[in-house]
Amino acid sequence: MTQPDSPVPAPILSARGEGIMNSAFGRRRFIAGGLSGLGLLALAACGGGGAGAASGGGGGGNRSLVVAVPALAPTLDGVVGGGGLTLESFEMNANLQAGLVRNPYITGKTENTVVQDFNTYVGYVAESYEVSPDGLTYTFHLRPGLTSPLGNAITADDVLWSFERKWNTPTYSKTVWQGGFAGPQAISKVDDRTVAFTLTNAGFGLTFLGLLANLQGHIYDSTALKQHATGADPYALEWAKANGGWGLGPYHVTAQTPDQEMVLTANPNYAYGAPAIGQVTLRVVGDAGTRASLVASGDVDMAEGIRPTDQARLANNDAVVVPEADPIEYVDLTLVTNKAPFDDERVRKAMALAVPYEQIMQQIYAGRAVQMVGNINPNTRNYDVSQLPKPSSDVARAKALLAEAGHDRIAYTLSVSTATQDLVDACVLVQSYAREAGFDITIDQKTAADFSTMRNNATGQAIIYRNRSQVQTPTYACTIFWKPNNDASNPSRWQDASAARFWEVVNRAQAIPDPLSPEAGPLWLEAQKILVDSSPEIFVCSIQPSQIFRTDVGGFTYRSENAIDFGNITILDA
Amino acid sequence: MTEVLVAVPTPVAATAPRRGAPAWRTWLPALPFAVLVLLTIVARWVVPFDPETVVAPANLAPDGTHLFGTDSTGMDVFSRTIAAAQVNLVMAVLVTLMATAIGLVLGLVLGMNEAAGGARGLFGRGMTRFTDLTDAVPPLIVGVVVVGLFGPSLVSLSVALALILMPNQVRLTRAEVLKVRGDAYVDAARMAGLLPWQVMIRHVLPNSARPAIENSSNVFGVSIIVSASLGFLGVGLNPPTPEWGVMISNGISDVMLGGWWTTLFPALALCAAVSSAALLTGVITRLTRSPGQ
Repeated sequence: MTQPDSPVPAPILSARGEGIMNSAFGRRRFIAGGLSGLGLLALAACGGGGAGAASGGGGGGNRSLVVAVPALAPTLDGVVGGGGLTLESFEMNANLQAGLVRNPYITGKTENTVVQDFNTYVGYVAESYEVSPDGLTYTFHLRPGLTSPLGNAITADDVLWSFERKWNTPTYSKTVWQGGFAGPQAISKVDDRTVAFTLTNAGFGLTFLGLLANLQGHIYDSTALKQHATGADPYALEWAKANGGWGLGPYHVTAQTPDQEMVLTANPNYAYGAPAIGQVTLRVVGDAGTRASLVASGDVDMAEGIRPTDQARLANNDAVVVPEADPIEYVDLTLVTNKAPFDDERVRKAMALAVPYEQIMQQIYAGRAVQMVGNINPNTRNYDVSQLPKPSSDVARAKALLAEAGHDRIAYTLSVSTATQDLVDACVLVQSYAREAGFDITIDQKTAADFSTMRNNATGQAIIYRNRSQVQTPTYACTIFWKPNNDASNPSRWQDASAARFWEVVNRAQAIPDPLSPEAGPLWLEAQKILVDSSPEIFVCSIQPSQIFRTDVGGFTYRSENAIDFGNITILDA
Repeated sequence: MTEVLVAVPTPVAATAPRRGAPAWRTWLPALPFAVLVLLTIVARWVVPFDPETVVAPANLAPDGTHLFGTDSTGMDVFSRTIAAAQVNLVMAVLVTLMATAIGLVLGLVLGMNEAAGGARGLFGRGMTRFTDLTDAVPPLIVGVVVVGLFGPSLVSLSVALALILMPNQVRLTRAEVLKVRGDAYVDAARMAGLLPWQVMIRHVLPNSARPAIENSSNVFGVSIIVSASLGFLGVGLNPPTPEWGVMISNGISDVMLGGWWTTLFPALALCAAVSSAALLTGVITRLTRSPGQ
């Protein structure tokens, strides 16, 4: 198997940066224009050159891209260096790092966009790979002559050292691999360009590839990192937090002003060839509305973290693309089962019937959300999602279930992070509509840090947040969020009789070597039925991509972590 | 011939309007504030919709049914703007009472003890410097910390704001106490055998409180602004409690793409409340000053 050439066409520079007066926003946006002007002044003040002023970078095309982002990642070493599971960290990983394989890009729903094909994997840092007949050994052949942005050759030793670095760093979460991969000791160097990974369970193979393709499996330039290692820091964790060039992704960081701006320069030695965009400038614009208006006015090329209501308002703007895809990110209303009232399955089921799904999709997400049935990707091969019950609101049934559980009304606290305004709004809708079904909800806003602690420790009664399966395999989707034994990755602490039945079915499915086979599909379905029925987590809806961009930007990639792969972006002909 | 000194205390409050000015002209500037107070009392009964419940589709522009439109969840902005007066003004009253009460007590104690010798004087001078130092701490930071520690409730927010706004009241009272404590009538009271605390309460306090009381309407206005600022920063009351700062903060993104109504109306209400408090300050000042002052 050989990775095909990058699917993007040769870039052609477009006319960009139309003035605010030419934007689709008319005079009625007078106030908005004024505030937007302030935003632009701030951009100019902190950014140096204008939107199109950047020069070409290292080995990329002589094109530049300016992206308005809500925040910058606090560290360039997200997954090992404790950067957290934030969009900013995901974006750093997607653009600065590369794994041995990745999901190929296929044509997306929106013109000039692509999405990932989660059923297959192609070479990335590796040129190709083979799987042994028993499905337990994966052999990867590295690309010949591959070097890092710093010019160091990438060999099998780098692969081995990368996994050593991960395993020997306390902040790295190894539990995602525990379904069938034991760590560095299960990797062997065949020759300078070949490494073999041995699994303990053939059914874990697809998820193993998924992990290699995502942030958990990235390969590093060990030569560069070793040069900056010290006795106290043998894996150069401190140096790697702020210095680029040791990853193998399409870009490396060449300048940054914390909390203001970051400049990514194209990696001339990128596995798929130098990216079309030579330089990408990420500029922090705190307000979502301002980010949206900057794209509309042509002052930036792309923007992230846009509110669905703003996306809906811009949907008819000819200068702006609001992408659509089969969404992966979803609104997760987790009912914590280690305490009342949600230790009672009947109360959980009642709550699932009291959620105003349709109203949330229409009012909060302005129609840019779709119904979610279970948490396995509906495009998974041999998985028939149509057999799962669709979530629906039914006040009468909710009341009946509450009565059956011995309650007339139930009061509880629903916690939400202040960082996600759409979810705060969703809480208000849930509170308003669930009242009729007998739930008296108090909304508790928490800072992002406090919310994270509450989620990990399961100290609340119910929490609402955005969630996604990083690896889009049924194995990963069914095993990552419901681990037993009070595991911090199980925010609902679902461990009752239903959970035991769920795991019994999941374990049977995992025992099948090919998780996408016709034999495995019905088992995944059965497990999802138990999950949805027991409702430790209510899958409220899945949300469309939160980015927007100018119409002359092509190659936008909707990925499982919702980060943009700038290595695939091009500037289209006007 | 022995000269006899007669102490004449300054009147605490001369309630008579300035000579020549009709009473209604004196009281007229207080009218907006009176209307606001009335609105605060009846807010929940006069609003057309429940201010804490989703009542319509989200982001509706103002029309005949929803006079100020609806917000991003579908709650009625008019009802929320009116209902928020209750939350914001109750908080402002609590803050003003706490800040002024603490300010008077501390200002009195510090002013009376600052010149004393020994530990008492040391305490008085030390506390005065400490009060000055608190000016160096940005009020919003204090608010964020207090709310972070005790959670976003009406009580915790009120205490935080009272702490933020109290130092000014302390300074005003202390300055007045320093002037008053040497007056002859105070000496006379001491010589008459009154205990120090009796002198403070009966004679010094009534004659030193006026500046802080005059300033209380200013504290009132500022507390509305700071509470709204805390709400704007995301450390306000939990949703869906209507509060002007939170409403402005949540609606600011809508403004950029044309949804002006979610921010404009609470912002106007905030301006009106602060302006009415400023007008009240003028009334109080006029009423508390004796003719000729």
